[in-house]
Amino acid sequence: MELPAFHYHRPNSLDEASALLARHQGDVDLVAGGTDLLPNYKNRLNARSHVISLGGISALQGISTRRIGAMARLVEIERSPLLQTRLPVLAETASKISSPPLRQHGTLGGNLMLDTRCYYFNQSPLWRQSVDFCLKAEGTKCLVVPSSKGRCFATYSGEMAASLLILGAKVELLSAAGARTLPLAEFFDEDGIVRFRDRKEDELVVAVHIPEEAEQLSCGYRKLAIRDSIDFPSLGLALGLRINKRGVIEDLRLATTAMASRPELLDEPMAEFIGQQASAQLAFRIGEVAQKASVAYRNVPLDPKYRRKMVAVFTRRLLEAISPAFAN
Amino acid sequence: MSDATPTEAHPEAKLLRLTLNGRSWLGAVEQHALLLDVIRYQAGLTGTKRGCDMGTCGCCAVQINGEPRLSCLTLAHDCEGAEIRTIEGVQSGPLLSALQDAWVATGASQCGFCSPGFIMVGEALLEEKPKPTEREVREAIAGNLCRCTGYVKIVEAFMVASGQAEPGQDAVRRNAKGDSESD
Amino acid sequence: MSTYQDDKAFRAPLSTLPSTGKKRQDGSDQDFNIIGERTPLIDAREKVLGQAIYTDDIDFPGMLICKILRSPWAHARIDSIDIDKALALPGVHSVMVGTDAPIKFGVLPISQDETALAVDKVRHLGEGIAAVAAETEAIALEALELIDVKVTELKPFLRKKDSTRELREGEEKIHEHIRFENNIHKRVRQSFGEPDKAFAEAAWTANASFEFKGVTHAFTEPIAAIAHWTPDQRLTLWTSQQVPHYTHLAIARVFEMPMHRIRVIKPTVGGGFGGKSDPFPHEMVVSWLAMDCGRPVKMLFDREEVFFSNHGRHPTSNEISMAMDSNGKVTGLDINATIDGGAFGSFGVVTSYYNGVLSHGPYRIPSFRYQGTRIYSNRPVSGAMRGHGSVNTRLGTEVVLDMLCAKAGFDPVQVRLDNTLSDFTTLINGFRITSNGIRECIQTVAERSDWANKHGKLPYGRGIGIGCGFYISGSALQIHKSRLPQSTVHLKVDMDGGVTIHTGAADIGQGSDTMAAQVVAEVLGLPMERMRVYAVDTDMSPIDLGSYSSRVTFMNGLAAKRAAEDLREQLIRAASRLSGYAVESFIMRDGYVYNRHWPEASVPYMEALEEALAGKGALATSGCYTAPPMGAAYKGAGAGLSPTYSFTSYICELEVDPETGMVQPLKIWAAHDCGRVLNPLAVEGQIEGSIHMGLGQILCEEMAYEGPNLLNANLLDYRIPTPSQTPEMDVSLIESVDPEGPFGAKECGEGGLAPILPAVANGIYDAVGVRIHRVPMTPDVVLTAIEKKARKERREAAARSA
Repeated sequence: MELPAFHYHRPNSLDEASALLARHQGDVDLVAGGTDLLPNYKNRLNARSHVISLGGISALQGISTRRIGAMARLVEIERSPLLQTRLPVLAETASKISSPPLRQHGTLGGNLMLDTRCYYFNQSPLWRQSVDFCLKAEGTKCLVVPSSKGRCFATYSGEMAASLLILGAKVELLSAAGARTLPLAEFFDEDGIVRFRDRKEDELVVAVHIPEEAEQLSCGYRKLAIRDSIDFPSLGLALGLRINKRGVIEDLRLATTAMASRPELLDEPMAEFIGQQASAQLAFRIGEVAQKASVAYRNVPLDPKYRRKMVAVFTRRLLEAISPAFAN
Repeated sequence: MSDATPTEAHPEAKLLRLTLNGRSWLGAVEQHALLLDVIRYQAGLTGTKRGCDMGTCGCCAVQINGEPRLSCLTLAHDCEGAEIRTIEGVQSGPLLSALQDAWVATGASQCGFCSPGFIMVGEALLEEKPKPTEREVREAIAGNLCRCTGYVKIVEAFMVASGQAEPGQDAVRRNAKGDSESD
Repeated sequence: MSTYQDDKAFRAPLSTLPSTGKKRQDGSDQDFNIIGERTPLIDAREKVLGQAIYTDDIDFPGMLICKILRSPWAHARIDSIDIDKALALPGVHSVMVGTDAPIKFGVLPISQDETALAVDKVRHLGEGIAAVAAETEAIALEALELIDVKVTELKPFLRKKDSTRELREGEEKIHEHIRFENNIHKRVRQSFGEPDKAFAEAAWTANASFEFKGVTHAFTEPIAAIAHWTPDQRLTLWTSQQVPHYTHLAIARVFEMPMHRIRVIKPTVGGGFGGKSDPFPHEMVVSWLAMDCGRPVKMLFDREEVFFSNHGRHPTSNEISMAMDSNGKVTGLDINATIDGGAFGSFGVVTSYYNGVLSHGPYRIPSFRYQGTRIYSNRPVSGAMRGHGSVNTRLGTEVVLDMLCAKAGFDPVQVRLDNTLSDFTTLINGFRITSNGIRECIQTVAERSDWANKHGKLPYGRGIGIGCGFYISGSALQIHKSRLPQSTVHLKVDMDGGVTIHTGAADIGQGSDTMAAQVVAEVLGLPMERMRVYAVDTDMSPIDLGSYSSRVTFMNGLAAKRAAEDLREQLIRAASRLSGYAVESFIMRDGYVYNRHWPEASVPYMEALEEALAGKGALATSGCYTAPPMGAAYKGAGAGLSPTYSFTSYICELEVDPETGMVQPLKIWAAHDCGRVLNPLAVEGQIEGSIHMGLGQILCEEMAYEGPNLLNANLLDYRIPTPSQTPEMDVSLIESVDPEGPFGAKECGEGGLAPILPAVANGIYDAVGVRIHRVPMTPDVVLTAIEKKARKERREAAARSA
């Protein structure tokens, strides 16, 4: 299927890109790997008249332990020896996203900025017409939660976000007005249409910054999907742990994706476990708490109740895999 | 084409330069065109297939600067100046590549619609890893779907092409009835 | 020697010929040239080179693009369609609506209920209402938006129970022709033996109900067609089809045009599996538009449209009961099935029968009862899909048999062996069984999988299960009652020495062209490179009914064999004339008309050919196959009747994660009796592909609906198994040489699907002790069953301790 017609722009510098963004504000999309935007465009989902391709900007490239450029491709993250040694959870997460050719296309920035997904949204114009459209495109009501009063419940499926959240990453944004950096935990909005709490329309993600202390965490990522490749997650769960020699938890971080309209860092529910002695029983308890703190909606594959149960299972299994102290 | 003049709603086509299977290609290409459509309909190379049209089946895979990519998810103008290799560029002279040869010998094509995509991903894999394990093969082609073969003979083709196996032995176990008794 | 005989490329010196033909691998004395050899498919090279031409690869000067306006309503009366604005759009050449071609058609003469585009009413979401031919896709899409359709919406029928009940006030039947005031399309009731007595006297009985979601073929090539009204005032249609002949018939009917003015060509087809085996509305649409515009018109479906077209496996509810005596002999089988046909008939009447009659084998079952109901609903039409009609019942019967074994403490493999049919026997419903390798199939998979040391003995979470099946090798009864053969093949040989094979059989990737070439090459003792196949151009190829019901190897193979035998006779006569030896002493092999008694009197093929051509010109022969009369006389006796049947047994070892419900098959042992194996390479491929497709249905594929809306009309959310999750397969081919098949061959394309479903389901039971009653058995469903069992056990333990 052909894409809807648009004006194609390919800036060679960040300045040029932010100028273009400012000029076409409200009627412009950024495209990185294209794996999310182009299928949506084929379905005529909120297509804009201007598309800015980010592939020509070298300032968006680069991988180090402290900074990963927005246009770093998922395959580069997956295969980076540096990340594999120092921040292996990032390489591991990247390796589980979609399929090998899509990881050649996909980028860190694109995965972070992935549009939210929903059975009522990711459909053809005909399909959406048949249900009188949904809030997220051309319609007036949410079809997942009809009583939502204007809030969209589409599900966020970016996987890198979960792992970056437990690492305490920050996101660097740039607009014609200047650059700023904010914690990733404050970046996302709970509304599936708003998506980003206070990202301005003319801002683009330049890079993600990772604090040095992140390297002290032992981390892991698990993905729930019916197939082992291609599929979006029905749950992605990242867990970071610091535990001392006596088996006492010094830091515990847990984040989920593909449950709600944003990736969720379960920092408050996990706080109670800091200072506790690791044990099989505690692993079970942490899983229960994580499950209770999670919500899911019936708009992506697999039953929401089931997905919440898997939060508990994945949490416990990750704890066991990371530290033997949780195995007995 | 309709005779509409370029306007805000109808952006005009732009020149696109590619190296397509080793030869330079130049054409006026719509700004929103997909690489797949340029390859199939403008360059006339119909070996690259449109399967799912959303990046899940791999039938449209080509190599861009040596890397396997999906042409149904690639904006044509993102490829300005790039080297594009399609299934038509795999053969050298009258000879099939080792993978193509093995593909024929093992029966890895049935309907054949997915074969070009698999082969484009496969050629890139074998270039990177001349002797992949079976697991590595299955993981490398995990973004390609085949509905005919159950992937058995596709994986076998990789093993044969990489010199790690001979084309399969017959699965005929024995005659149940007939020959041996009647003769 | 003349110029034409100077062809030494393949002719071996006579002295190097072995005195007898080469031995077969299996050690039998059968002397074959190419039959049984691992033969690459003859179109494999063009496929790996990207040079195979599929329908969308064809381009013509001035070709227009067609797009169809599809219904967003599931059930509605069409009040008006305004196409004026669309017609006025520059670049639009024609707009078609339903009344332009209102004559109904369908694959079965008894179900002529589809039209090119909706006339008066729409019956499912996605049904075509109008179509545009325009210069570009963009213009066509723009034109569709300018078409104004006014409808009165009707209450849609979306649940089986709503279609089987009487209509209520204000409801309207989906089709006027339905006989009663409901939406039941077809009812089948059959009873053989004494089922009530069998169940009353049984030592063991078991019963279970299953719910199957619809599944679809998911071939990789989207549906496509091109029509052209050629300068000779004829219609040519290039179409991605399994049954070009039925399309030919349907076009003639819809346009009231004599068949000779229509030419149907099948380009390379990118998979079918039953999903391209009906005459289709879009074929009528492009034909009408091409005739209206006088220009070629192309139609390429997007993937969602492929799902709207569907014709996939019927969503099914079935209930299966089985009775067994104290010796482990199955004494009775009772099946009740309701299948959701969607909006139209398609193959549905046949499916209605197949859900019952294809469960008669591979066991001897003395009493049998079947009640089948096919309903219409406001969903995309269900039709034939690989394993047509046999699959869902097969899961049920094999699982219930497993339940009986568990109850009675019998070994599932032994019970199956104890109940198998013999060869050369007749079933209670009149099916004639000829060759039968089911026992060898079961024994082979049991041995190779080490069943005896695994079943019931693997640790919790790991299990092993078995499933068996049988399947038709083509339907003996023709869809269109006719005295014409079911398959005809023409051969032509001229002075170049190549053999041209004209066949109407539709190669859809299964390799039927290669099969025909192999059969002819075998009979003539010539190498494959002498063969060239020209398939399915109705102007040139004789009729074959098409690639469905797993009929092509048997029927088209026999037709090809007979045509080749005729040709061989002519060449042998020529050799006899040249050499003076009697015709009886000649055979053909290795490029010679070979004299068995006096090898030095053998005549090279090219010399014999020149003699045969002298004063006559090209040799042309024809062979055909018509199924002999067979079967019983009761109503419906013809359904499932086949000249021969294949037999299959699968064992699957798998892992179930008891905490997530994820099922991962680890290895599959497969044994399939396809009679003589003509080409191991191709037969293995059919079995491996069938297993893959069956694994998809049992584990992850489903057409998921919410109301009338298909939630997953794309290959992202409709999940066919990936390379990395498809397990290792150990395929065994069991040769029970059939007395009638070509060189003893039977089918291998469809029968290999069904048994994998129960092998997995029974494996899950062996692993974690739960029976799952919903297909696909997705992890959430499996986990729910595991948790339910755990709760029950806890309750029972509590009750015991109290």
